Amino acid sequence: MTAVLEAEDLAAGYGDVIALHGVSLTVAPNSITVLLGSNGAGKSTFLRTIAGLLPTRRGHIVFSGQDITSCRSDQRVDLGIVMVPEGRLIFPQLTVEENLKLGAFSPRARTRQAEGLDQAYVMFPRLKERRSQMGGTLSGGEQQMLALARGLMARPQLLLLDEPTLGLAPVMATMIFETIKQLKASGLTILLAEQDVRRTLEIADQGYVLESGKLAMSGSGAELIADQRIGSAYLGI
Amino acid sequence: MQPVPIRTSLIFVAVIGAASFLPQFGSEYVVAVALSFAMWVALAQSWTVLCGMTGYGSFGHAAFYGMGAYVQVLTWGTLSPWLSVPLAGLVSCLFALAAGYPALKVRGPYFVMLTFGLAEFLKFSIIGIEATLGQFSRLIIGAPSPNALYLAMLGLAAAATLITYVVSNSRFGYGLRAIREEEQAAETIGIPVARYKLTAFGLSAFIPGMVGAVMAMRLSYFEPSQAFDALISFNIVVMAMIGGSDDARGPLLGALFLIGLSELLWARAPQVYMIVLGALLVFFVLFAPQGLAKQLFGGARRRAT
Repeated sequence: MTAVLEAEDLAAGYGDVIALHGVSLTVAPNSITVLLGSNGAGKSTFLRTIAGLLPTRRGHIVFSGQDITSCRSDQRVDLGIVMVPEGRLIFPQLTVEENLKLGAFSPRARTRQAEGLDQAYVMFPRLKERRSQMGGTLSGGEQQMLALARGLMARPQLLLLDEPTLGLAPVMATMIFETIKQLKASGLTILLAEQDVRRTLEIADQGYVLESGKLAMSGSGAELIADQRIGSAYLGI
Repeated sequence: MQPVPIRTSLIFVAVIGAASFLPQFGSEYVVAVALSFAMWVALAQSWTVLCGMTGYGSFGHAAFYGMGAYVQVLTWGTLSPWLSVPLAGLVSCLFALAAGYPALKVRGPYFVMLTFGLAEFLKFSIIGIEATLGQFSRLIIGAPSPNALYLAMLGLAAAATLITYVVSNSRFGYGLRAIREEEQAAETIGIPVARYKLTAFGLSAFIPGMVGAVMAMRLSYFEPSQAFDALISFNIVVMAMIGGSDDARGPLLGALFLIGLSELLWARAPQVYMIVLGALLVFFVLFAPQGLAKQLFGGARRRAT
């Protein structure tokens, strides 16, 4: 099977600072692929570059066999690459429903907006209860649900999740991990950057470890959990 | 895009229709005040398309007005004045696109300062060019009648109101609001942020350029420090803020309120006008930051896309 995403020798950065120094990795269809690494290792930079929010300094991005390195971010969304950014960046002064509807902004998603909204409310009944509330009045966990549901409204084929459980209560984090597993079961391909290494590896098909903007290690979820270096560096054992 | 409510369109047509008969029975003074009102409506509506919706506050809209006035005096005698008006809009629009490309990369107070700085830069550049050419003010002789100019301005106010209304209810308008709410998230859901901002900036400069061209004829002279006066930018911001809202209602209310106030005060107590204006602005920022539209229409919510 061809990979959904292939990154070849990807480099990116902010101004004079290069945060990513030539990372190559592949994401298999219908898998959960995870990016691990400490703060500043380049996980967010990688996801932002794939989503087209940051320009590619070097290398290529191939999505479903098509080179998208020079595509704009809105074109990538229309192709099916959707990122849920870190920090629950919802639209605070719009209602929950308006937030969701805006998720189906891309031409491909727009025609199925009503259907998407129904699916979002089935998946997150809490959002249905709060549909006419302002996004900014939701709790942290609800905002993360909203951000995730808004991303799904864009009808992704590849969902990029940047630290979705950061700062959430443990019960909420569990729920988000469950949702990610469900999304995979429904056929989605997921690239996930996370700090919670143990729980992330438990659901991962494939993992990549970034250190200072370079690829340090890779393997299946089970291999990485068993790896001594992962144990001492990230799991405290 | 939702269908235009019949009641709203009827009111709109009736008001414009009635206003176009004003020169037949109104005094010269009434027509002059109505022209000034139409001018501020046109300017504040244009400002709202960019600033009300995207949250990028421009403090430099005088630049577009001044550019329009300058185009009118430069082409006076060579081009038909009515041809110069759309040309002035086009020049302002192109200038906005060129200036907006770098300027829209910064936001918040930086964008405000940048637009203010650009407008001042343009003002002093034109003053310099005019001085080099030995022109300290240019006269316009043989301008159309005040009544004709009033009708032109009324048309511009109607067009600006229509543009704001259409944008406000369009997919484009919701994209702009998403940018205001959270620009990065807007980008992740596929809103072409950079293109949308630039389009809004260009759109918000078009009508002010035409307004400047009409006003140059009304004043029948051009003097750069007046045509590019920062007070024009300031007034636009105050009206839009007092009006509030990110649709076409706010600018109408703001202009009505401020023109009414200024007509009342200029005649009776000109020395306190600016003081009252300052106090009002403080009052609105502190106690009604969402403006008159919110106070009058309550939280009448818009529906998304």
